[in-house]
Formats: sequence, structure tokens, C-alpha cells
Amino acid sequence: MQTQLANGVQLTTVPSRQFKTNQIIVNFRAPLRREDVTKRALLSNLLETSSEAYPDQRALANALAKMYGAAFGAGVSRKGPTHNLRLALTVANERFLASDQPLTQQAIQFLQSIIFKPLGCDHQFDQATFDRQVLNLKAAIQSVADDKQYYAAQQLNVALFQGDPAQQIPSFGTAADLDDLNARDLWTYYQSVLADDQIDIIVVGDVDEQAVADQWRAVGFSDRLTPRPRPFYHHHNNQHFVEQTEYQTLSQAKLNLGYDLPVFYRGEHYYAALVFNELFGGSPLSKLFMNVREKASLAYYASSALDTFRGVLKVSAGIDSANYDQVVKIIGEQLTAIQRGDFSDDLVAQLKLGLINDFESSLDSQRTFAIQALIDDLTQQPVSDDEWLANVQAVTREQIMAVAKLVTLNNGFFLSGAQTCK
Amino acid sequence: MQIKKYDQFNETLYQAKLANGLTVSLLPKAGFHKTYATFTTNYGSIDNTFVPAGGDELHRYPDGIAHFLEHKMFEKADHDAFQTFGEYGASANAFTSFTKTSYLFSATRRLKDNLTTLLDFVQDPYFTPETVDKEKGIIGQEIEMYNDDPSWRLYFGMIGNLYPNHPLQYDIAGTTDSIAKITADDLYAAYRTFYHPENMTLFVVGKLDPDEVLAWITENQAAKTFADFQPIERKIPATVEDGHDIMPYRSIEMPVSRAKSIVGVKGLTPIKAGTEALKYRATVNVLLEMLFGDTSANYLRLYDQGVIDDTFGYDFELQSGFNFLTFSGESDDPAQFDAAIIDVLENWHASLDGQDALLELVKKEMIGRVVFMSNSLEGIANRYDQRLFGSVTLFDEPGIIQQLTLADVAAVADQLLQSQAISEYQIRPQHEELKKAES
Repeated sequence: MQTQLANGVQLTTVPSRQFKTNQIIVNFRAPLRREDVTKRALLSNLLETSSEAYPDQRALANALAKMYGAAFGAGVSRKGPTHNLRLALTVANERFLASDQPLTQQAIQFLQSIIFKPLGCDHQFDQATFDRQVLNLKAAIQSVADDKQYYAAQQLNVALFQGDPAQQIPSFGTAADLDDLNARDLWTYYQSVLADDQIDIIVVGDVDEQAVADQWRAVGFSDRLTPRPRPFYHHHNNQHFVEQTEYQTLSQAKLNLGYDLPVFYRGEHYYAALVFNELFGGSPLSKLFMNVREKASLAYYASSALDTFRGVLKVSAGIDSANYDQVVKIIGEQLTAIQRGDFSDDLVAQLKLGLINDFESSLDSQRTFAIQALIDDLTQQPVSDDEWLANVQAVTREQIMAVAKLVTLNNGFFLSGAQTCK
Repeated sequence: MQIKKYDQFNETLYQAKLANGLTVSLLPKAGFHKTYATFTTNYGSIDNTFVPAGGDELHRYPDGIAHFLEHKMFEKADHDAFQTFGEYGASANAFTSFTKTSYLFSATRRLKDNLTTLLDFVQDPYFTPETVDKEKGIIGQEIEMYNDDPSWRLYFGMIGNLYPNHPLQYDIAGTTDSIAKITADDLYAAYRTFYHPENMTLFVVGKLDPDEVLAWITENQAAKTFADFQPIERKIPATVEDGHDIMPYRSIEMPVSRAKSIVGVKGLTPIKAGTEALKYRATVNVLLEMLFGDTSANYLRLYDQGVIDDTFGYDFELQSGFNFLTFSGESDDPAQFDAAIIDVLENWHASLDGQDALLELVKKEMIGRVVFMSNSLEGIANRYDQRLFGSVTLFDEPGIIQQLTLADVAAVADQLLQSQAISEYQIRPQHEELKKAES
């Protein structure tokens, strides 16, 4: 059931008895702007750990524990040219607790108090809480680079989106930005989030849809006067392969390759691109897995991933530094092989079955329903389960080859463990 | 077939022991699209010294052999089991822990074909010197990948402190040197010793009809012959009960931006298997929540002092034959972090005494979490551990938690939190990295 609470504020309830919990997600969506990214990440930390009613972490944790250990989290993410600040709360369905505590109603009350009554006064966030969360976020951002796989992927991202800092930086911002933020400006910015962002509220579970709608209607959301953000980031890149190498002390080198692939979510070539990715490096049956890992024993992981909101394809592999040239060559050969149709129909049929298995399996996760409702609101292209299955089944080998020919290798980032010449 | 109903959860568990010794557990989940199956042997990384089936003497095998065997099970003379699962649209995987090796798949369609594939590939070993050698490259890369992971190094650094004379200290995958020594004959010896149905369990959960599935499994197993089961003799060093073997402190340098620290507590008393073990684990988890959980006074105090932050975490590992606690986090001052944790542990009385209201709150939270876990097929199946807990499942836990008293929690604290069982391990940023950050 969909309820328009105001212009740009939508409530979607998804009734389901499959799960023993009920989940509520509130998503704030804005156009991705470089200057807002870190602010939104810090906001998510502040909202996750404090509010007027729950001024410290213990008070907040107590409130969650009283709701039989409700799980609460806040986070940020980038999707194409949009940035999302998201609060999620999951509670047990009281039917399975031999309790008559109205947990879903309490959960919505809790979320509303977190969102509309943050911890602060005189138009600024509580200074001590603000300072603590700045420190914590800064430490977290700096530690992320210790994960070498992540670090290499992030460096590739910087190379791929040169000239567009909003796309280059991580969705949780930068440590340097944090030095320029203050508790008053952030409060002001949060007021604009509440007033201008597109808001999606998704409730999944065995709930009274009418009661849920009434509870949210009581908030009195204002109409959004800003236009809906565009769903896709178009960034056609013809650049020919530019390599970049960095040396660090590490045992396993990380190879990341970035390609232009102008195919967008549920647009032209979309379903063929899904099968293409499975064939290239998206599954254990893929060319990369079979040839880089299984046949040549050159890597523990070697896989590809699509970003159909930004039109890019990425390959990542963990390898021995000395094997760089051989691995890059084999990866290139796999793409060429797909372009000229060097794959069997049986394999395509298996890859489709794998995609279908993943799709049907995802229906066993409560989160899938919420995330899909968000994407449908962003792209305005809902597709039924049956249509999705039929579209995947209908993909032909010619269509897969055609997608492979759209792929252009733009950038490579190599995090090498050895100072030897590659 | 034994039937156990969990009325509060509206779930039913079906269990049977087949003629060949295999224990089968089936848990249908209404409304689910997927079926998840795990086929598990009670054989893990610590079982590196054992009497091979048919032999009569203890033999020391190379570290990492259980994990190596797991990798090699998928490859057959004329096909790869991954491929067969792929043909049926299933996604398959396997993992090796300290005490277990599990093979698993999840699938939304063709359940019978996938179950048959799972049973057949795990019960049909095929190793040659060539295929064994080839795998060394892949596993070598896996070991290197973990070597670069500071969290993994921190965890194994602590295990090395707590268990310096125990196979637990070795990386589950072994080392590049140890796996170089593994031969096809070693793999066959390990296989024949540990992969007898009597030493294995099959857990299937999700979309399934229990009568139909049990009939398929029974038919598949009846068509195969197995040698008579010979009780397994493995050599696992006993826990040194006064803890004198524990290394109290070690540290290393790695290219990390911030120091990481871990405090460990070794359980010096062995825990009896069965429902008692489940109760012990639940009690320790309640104790940890009361001492360090986000509803505790200690957590807020240490968080506001900046001693701990969102990277702080703790864990209780209870397995057949050993148990230990870990507390880890990032800190600019790891010595201060360790001292603060140890202070709470050694003065646990102060955090527990008179805290009846906190106990009730923590119990409520933990019972709710069982409801959360019951949504996850993987969670239900992976929490099942016959060797340790017997036939009990996730759904038995709320009843146990409900009855815990403050005296129960204090008794466990008294037994577990002993000063001589505490150890520290730190990863400090490399010197040149520090300089770079300062400049």
C-alpha cells in the first residue's frame, strides 16, 4: 500500500507474514553534492547515537533493549547522482514473544523522536556529542584505508571519475571535511534535509497498514518544493587504458580495473548486461573465475561487478605482484572471447539459472523488499517478479556479445606489494 | 523420525539417524523461496594429529590439511561440483573452522538434484598429485590475503598468546610452507578418518517437505557402502588449568593507520557438551552484555572517555575442547584500552552486584535476538552444532535465557574471569607510517 504523506514524502507498506520481525526504513534522498557528503555522514552518526529523549548511547541502547533488542542503525550511500541518508529499525513481532507490548507502534514512535527531536538546543547540536562523533567518524574514515581491497577500489574510483569530486570521494565523506564542520551549521543543514529531501518510509512485515499510515500522517510532513533527483549518472568515458601503480608493504597485490559500460538500471541492454556480468566475472562459473583462478591459479579472488546507476563495470583481483602482466592479459582475453561469442549456450542457460536463484533467494530477506521499494521510487520503473524472470530468460547470446562490445577499459589501479618492475 | 515442536515460534524440527550413522535434521520454513543445506563433518583445523582410519599410530599431518581437503573435495575426475551446482542454478560454498568442515548450497529450485549433488560430491573423494599441487597456488593466495588483514592477524595473535602449545594457534588455512607438504595420500587418510557418516550431520532448512526430503536422503545413502565406523582418535592437548602457558603480552607492527588492540581471556575449565554447554554460552553472553554491552554503565563511561569507540567489539568462542573471550578495538593508546578492559574484568563484582534490573533488560534483548535469527536460514543451520550442543537448536535458547539468575551469571564470571587467564596483543602502526601521518 502506498500513501502520499506530502509532495515528495511517501509511505510504502509491504504486508508479509514470512518474517518474524517487522522492519521500518526511513530514507532521505538528495542530489549528490560534494559539499554535503561528509555532513550527511556525520548526521547519520549523530542520529544513530543520540536524541533529545535519549541524550547518550546508554539511554538509547536501553530504549532499544526495552523493545526486545530492536536493531537500529543509520547509514549513508551513493546511488548514481543521488545521496541517501537512511535510518533502519527492526523489531520482533510480539506474537513470537508471548508479550503484548505493541512493538511496531513503539518502534515508529522511537524513529519519529530520533528524526524530529535531535540532541541540541539554540539551533545547534549538543557540542560534546558533536565533538565525540567528529572524532569517531574521522578515526573510522582513516582506518578504512587499512583494508587494502577497499583502498584499491577507492583509488580506482578516484581515477574513473576524474573531474567530478562528488563521484570520486567515498559516500561517507573525507576526514579533511570534518575540520570545517561545526555544530551550528550542521543543525542548519539538517533542517534543510528535513524540509527538502525526498523521504521514503518503508514498512515491511505483519503490520496493521492503516494504523501505521495514521501514525506517520500525524507527523505533518511538509510538501517538498525541490524537484525529484535524477536516478542515473551519465559519464560516457572513451579514455583508453591508463595504468597507475602504488607500492605498499603487503603480501598480496590488488589489481582493480575500471570500464565504461553505458547500460542503466532496467534500461536498454540491462538484462543482457546482467547475464554478461555473470559470464565475465560475476559468478563461480565465470570466465574470470575459471581462467584467472581455476586454470592459471593466479588469484584467490577475481571478479567483476556492475554499477548500473553510473554506467561502469569493475574488475578486482588479489594476485602476486610478479603476475601483473599475465593477469591483465588474461582478463583482456576473456572480454574479447565474449565479444566474439566464445561461450556455450549451456553456460548461458546455467548463468541465467544462477541469476534467477539469486533473485528468488533475495525474496527471503526482509531488507530486499524495502530496498526494492526505494529503487522503484527512485527510478519509477517497477517490474513484477514474473516480468523480471521473463526478461532474464529472453536474453540471447547475440545480446550478450553486443553488451561486451560496449565495454571500454578506462583505468587500472595496481596496489603492488613488491618494488620489482612489473 | 523424531519430531520436536516449538509452539512459541511456530516451527517444527524433524530429526533422524540413518542406518549408516548420518544424523539428518530438517526444518521447513513456510513462505520461504530458498532451501539451505549444510553437510558437516566434525573435523577442523585443530585436528592435525590423529590415528588414520585402518592404522594404529598417531600421525602428525601438515597444518591446514582440513581446509585443503575442503578445497579439493569439489574437484572430480571429469567435473567440478561447483559446475554441477551451477547447472542446477544453486549457489554452493564450503568453510573450515577450528573444529568443523561444512559444505553447503542454497537453491530455490531443483532441491532433489542439488541435495544429491551435495551428498555425492562430499562422499566421492578424488585426489591426484597433479590436482593437489595446482591447489597450492590458490590457497597460497588465500593465505597471503589474510596475512594483509590486520583484524585477522590481531585475532590469531591473541590465540597464539592463549594457546602457545595447541594447534588452535595455527591459521586455519595453514602456511605456505605447511601446505607445500600436503600430498594426495594425506588427503585420503584424513578423508577416510573423518568423513564417515557417523561423524557427519546434514541440516536442511527452508522450502521443503520433510517426508519427501528424508526419503531422498535415505535412498541416496542406502545405495552407498561405508567401512565400519572406527572411533576417531585425535590428539588435542588438554587445557593447562593454571594457565601458566599463556603469553601475557605481545605486539607487532603493521602498516595500519591506528593501533589495534585485543584482550583475551582463556577459559581454564573444560565445559561439558550438551544442553549445559548451551546454557554456559548463553550465560557468558549475558555476562558480556552486562559488563560491556551498550546498555552497561561501563560502555558509556569508556566511550565518553574516548577509551573505546564504535570499533569496540567482543566475542565468546565456545567449541568442543576450548573456550575463550576476546575484546578488541582501535585506539590511539592501546595500553590504556587494555588497562580499562582488564579493570572491568577483574572487578566484575562491581558491575554485577545488585544489577537485577539490568539483567532483566539484557535477557529481554537476547530473547528478541533469537526471534531475529529465526528469519535467517543460514543462522538457524550454522548455529546447530551436534558435537557441542547435542540435538538442541536456536529455538531452545529463549527458555534457557529466561531462567538465568544473577547468581548464575556471577558463578560463571567467577569461573571464567581469572587474572592469570588474561592476555594482551597489539598491532602498532609502522614507524614510517607514523611519520607520514605527522608530516
